Amino acid sequence: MNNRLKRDSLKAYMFLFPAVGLILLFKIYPIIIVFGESFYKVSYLSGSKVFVGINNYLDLFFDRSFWNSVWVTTKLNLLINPIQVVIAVVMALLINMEFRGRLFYRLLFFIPLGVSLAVTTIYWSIFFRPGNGVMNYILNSVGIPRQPFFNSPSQALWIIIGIASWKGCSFWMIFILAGLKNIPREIYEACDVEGIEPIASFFYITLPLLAKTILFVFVTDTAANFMLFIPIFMITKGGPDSSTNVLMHEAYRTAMLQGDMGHGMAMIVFLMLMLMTVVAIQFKVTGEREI
Amino acid sequence: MDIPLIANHTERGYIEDLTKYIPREKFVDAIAEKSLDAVTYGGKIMASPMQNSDQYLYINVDMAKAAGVKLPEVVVDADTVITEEFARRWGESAWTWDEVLQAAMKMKKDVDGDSITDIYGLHIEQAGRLYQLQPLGGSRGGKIVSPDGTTVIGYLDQPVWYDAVKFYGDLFTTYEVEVPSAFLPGYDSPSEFINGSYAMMVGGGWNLKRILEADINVVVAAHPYFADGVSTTPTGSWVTGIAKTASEDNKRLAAEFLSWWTLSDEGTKLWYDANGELPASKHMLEELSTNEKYDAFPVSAQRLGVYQVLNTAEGRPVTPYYPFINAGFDKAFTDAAQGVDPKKALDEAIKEIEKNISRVQ
Repeated sequence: MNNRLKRDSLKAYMFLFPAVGLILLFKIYPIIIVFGESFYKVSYLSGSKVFVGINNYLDLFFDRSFWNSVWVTTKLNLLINPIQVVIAVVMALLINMEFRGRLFYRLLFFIPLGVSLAVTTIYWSIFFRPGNGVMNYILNSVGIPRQPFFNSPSQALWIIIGIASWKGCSFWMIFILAGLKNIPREIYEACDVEGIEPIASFFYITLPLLAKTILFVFVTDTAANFMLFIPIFMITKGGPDSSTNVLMHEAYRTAMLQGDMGHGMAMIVFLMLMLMTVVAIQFKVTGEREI
Repeated sequence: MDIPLIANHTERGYIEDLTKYIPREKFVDAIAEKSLDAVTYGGKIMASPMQNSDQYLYINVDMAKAAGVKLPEVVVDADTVITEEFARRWGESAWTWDEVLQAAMKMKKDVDGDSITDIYGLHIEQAGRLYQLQPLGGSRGGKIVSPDGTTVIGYLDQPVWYDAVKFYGDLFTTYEVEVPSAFLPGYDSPSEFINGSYAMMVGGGWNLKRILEADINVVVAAHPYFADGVSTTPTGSWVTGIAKTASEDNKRLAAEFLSWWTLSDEGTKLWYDANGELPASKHMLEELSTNEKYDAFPVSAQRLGVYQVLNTAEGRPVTPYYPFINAGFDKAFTDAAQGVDPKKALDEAIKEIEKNISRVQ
């Protein structure tokens, strides 16, 4: 019996090994490297490496563009995560309903999944071209004056949110849809028998039974959006006037363009701590200890 | 690598002194003096130039005529025979930036009257970039960085640069003659010019062949300058160095190839005929200027580039901190074009450049 247990445990570890190995290699190892590098300063010109303790972290406190990027990251996430989760829930509910042409909408909602974020970014950057772009012609046709979009410090972040959400919502919709499919049909049949209105059944049946799925989506979506980089890197490069300069982009600029790897790594560690704090708060607020 | 990175890559120990493998005299004999100066850092030749660059004002003639704009006195079109004397007169008849702006205002057009500009008046290629916009300050004598390359204070913070940033920003915000989408990824300036998205383009000589062979009526005028300044034009292009980390055998092989490719008559001719960009070698500059083979338009138009290299070209700052200066410069001009107060945009950029330099010193 004992031998069998050992054999089973060994099997379990063997099955787990590929996934755990890849997580260790591609997730945990880079985190350790980043954490280690954040305590060093590499000379820009000579390339020599000196241990500077927590100096890179102390420098962050006096770095105005770092604090601006913390604010932009916070603002982006306060906006984008609720927007994406709500839209994903609505989309999942829509394609879960029985109606004529449902297949068409299903296909429509799934299209963004087949397009990479880089390609999405290029398409939408053409659509939102400042000046004589497609969107401005549409706005103009309904009497709204043309907009600067990416050229405006007050609009650029919203367009970035739009681009990331166009793709993100479809992705998160799949999880919500899976959650919806797990709710037993008998409960809704009972609601019908009892004459409960659909809106009431949504708030009293669907939503509570979806809570764990929504929390999972909310947490993972937050993690993904804290690291949003591609549309910003490709279109705005943090501008105009640093209005889209999120922490990921600021860390990239500092480490890769300005050659200050230690300072950039300290920013990434800060971003990681910030994300962990936010996720902890999400768990606390929603009263969940596990997903 | 791009030429202004030579100082940086030398200081950081990335590239090798080429004279260890190729005699200095060979470079002196083969490369035009200014181009050789530009690849020399700390007295050492750190790279060999493959080509040079030149800048022109391309004007859509049909749009100019329709708007009642009189072209500069001396321009190049398909029938022009470009001699040394012609190039001189051409250079001297350049428009001032004010004249360019006036023409751009007239040529800007809302074709269907829906209050959206369909044809912009002017586009300066490489939107917001230091290479392209340095003449906006350089024309009035503005320098970007101190001679030792360690600070922009006392240089980029001078009124001439605030005026330059304001002028560039105003093209987008006040006069609305510049293309606001030019900062987006994949914006293809020559294609947009050929397609008629805007009437004039200040752009590189690398576009000459493509634009002049396209089915549009276009002339090439000299690069604009400010009336209270002189004509300065961007210059410099891609160069090739040898990596310090390579093995000795590979370095020698690379040097042998580099010597043939960038210094020999055969190699430079082959490269020019295939690539078509303004040459940096004395042999090809001479060929371009005198050989009948290059008399035919549009290749002949590149003889104007020879005039620029000899008379108006001004290289980018030579400093190991060029990447910081380049990034800050780009940000200031881009922000101003996107509506940020020009003074604030430049002040912020200067602060960031200084912060970055001091952080790594």
